[in-house]
Amino acid sequence: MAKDTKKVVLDVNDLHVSFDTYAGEVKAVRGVTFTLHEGEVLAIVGESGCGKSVTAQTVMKLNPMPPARIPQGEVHLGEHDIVKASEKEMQTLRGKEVSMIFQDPMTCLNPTKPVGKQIVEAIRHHRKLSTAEAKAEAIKYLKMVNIPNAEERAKQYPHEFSGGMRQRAMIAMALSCNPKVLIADEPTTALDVTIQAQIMDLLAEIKEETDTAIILITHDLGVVAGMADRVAVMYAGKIVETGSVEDIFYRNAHPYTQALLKSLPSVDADKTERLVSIAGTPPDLLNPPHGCGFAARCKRCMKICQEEQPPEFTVGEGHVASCWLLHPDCPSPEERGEKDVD
Amino acid sequence: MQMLKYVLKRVGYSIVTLFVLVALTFFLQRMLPGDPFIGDKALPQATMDALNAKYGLDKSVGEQFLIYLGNCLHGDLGLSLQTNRPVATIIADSFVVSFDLGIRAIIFAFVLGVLLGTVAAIKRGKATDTICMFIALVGVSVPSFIVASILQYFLGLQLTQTLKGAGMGAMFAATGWDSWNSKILPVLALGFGSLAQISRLTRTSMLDVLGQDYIKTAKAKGLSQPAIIWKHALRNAITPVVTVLGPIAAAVLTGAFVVENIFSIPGLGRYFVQSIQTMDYTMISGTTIFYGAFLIAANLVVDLVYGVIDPRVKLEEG
Repeated sequence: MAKDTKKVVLDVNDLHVSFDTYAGEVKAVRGVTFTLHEGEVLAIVGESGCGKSVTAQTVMKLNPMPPARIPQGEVHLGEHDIVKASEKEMQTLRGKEVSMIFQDPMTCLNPTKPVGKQIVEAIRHHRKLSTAEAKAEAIKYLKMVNIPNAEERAKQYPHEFSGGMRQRAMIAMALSCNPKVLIADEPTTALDVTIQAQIMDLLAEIKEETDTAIILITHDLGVVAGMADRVAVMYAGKIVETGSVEDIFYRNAHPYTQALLKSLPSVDADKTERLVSIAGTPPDLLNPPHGCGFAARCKRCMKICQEEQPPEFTVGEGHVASCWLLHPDCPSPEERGEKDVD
Repeated sequence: MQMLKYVLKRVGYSIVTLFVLVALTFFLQRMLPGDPFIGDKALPQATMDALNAKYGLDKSVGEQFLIYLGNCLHGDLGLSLQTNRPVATIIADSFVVSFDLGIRAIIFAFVLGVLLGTVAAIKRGKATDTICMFIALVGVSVPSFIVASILQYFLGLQLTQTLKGAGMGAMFAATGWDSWNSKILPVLALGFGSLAQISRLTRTSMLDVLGQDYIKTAKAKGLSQPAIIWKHALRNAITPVVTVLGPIAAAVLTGAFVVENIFSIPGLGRYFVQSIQTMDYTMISGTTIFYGAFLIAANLVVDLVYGVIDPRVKLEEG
């Protein structure tokens, strides 16, 4: 299954997103580039506030504009130019070409409408079906996401559903118009662990059965390992490293990726061992640093890191990282007199 | 079944409340100094005795109370001491007018108030928002008798006369409650305060709802802003507004005393006020009980409607 033969469904090129606030311009996303192929699962990982959700919501233009704006960059969804698209055009794309499931299923469904009706609404908005046909479709999708007694359940209100079932219903709604891209914005963060696994299994099933491409946004690397084809690590509004799951977990090249992986609790770790954390805080995106965003927290920071943004360096096939350490002229750790970086 | 149990329980509470109301008004009015039959000229003692005997006022207060309670249970509110007509008939005749006025005012206040509040919420921070909220602030601060007087003078009198001078028909009538053009100004005057209250509440609640995740979900489905407001936001935003409809019914009811007076509307409010001035015992009790029962019923209806709008509300514990 060579990636090149698959159609590109989403192409994001040098995307910048800013929010105009009273304090000034917050540069939440500062040049993000990625492509997504049919049927592919791309995971975007990073800590809170790194711009991963903003990136995803910009693909759907869900961020209210103003205060958000796109000063630079391109987003192509199939043949549609998202940056230039009018609100009216977006209304025909949202839900049909690209749909989204959110973090908290408890608050994402309208409490005053039966679940089935909310799915029917999405179907009827994009597909020319009668109410009865749309109802049948909604039940079909509820069954697909493994909701028992779908016919009965469709008539119930969200408060009669458990958290996991609500997220399933959200997924059913998101899939109901066969979108080319499904954005899952931390789909399991608000759920407890056993339910998390069920939802991830469901997403993996969808990946197998449909050719919908999935963008999986998460800060949980464990979730990523299970189902992503490719991983993009974001930090301070930029993608710092992209590669396959193996690249990111075993051949990672960026100090941030390394630090992130080290902060994962491990099953075989000594129980008395303290969890490793990354010292410091992410940079203030009101005044983003000139150099590498991670420089201030990086243990291997050099002079150039603070002065100039690192370009992308190819580490392996389909594996790129933005770090000055990868520059061919960069002296080796011994030459820099670097001691134990851990 | 649960619903029925709830309603029965509420009706039970209402009966107790009503009993307390009857007892309080009955004994309070007897504590007032004066006598219903003392008029401009003194009546001979024999006439007074005859009148007292006729209306049962010669018995002890406790005895009178028991008789009154018994009559009430039969739906007999007694004869008015002033007009000698049955109180129930007077109420029935005049309340039709008051109810007509009140319901128009509430509908006017609700529809326009929700509209104003929604528009203000959507245009938050813009000039439209400021204008809407200024209107609301005026409505909340200015009492209905001032609004009524201003409307009556400027629209009912000045404007209408100017129009008449120009050879056109009357647009607003300044008094009465018969033709359509006499009904506009009282409804505006009576509903304005409630409109203001409803629009402020709607704005707050709408802003809260618009920030909810399910609004984002609706947007992510591809719905347009008007569709989102109409299909998803309004119903959720309106729930707190419905809860205040009970108190608003009370405000409209009490406001009606004044507005009816200003516009010379033959409603129940007039009798309510007059009966106290003339010490018309049966009339005071009758109107008070009626208003009390009406308010209790209005609040019960509001609570039931609440459950219909928001399916999460289970009507169990009253």
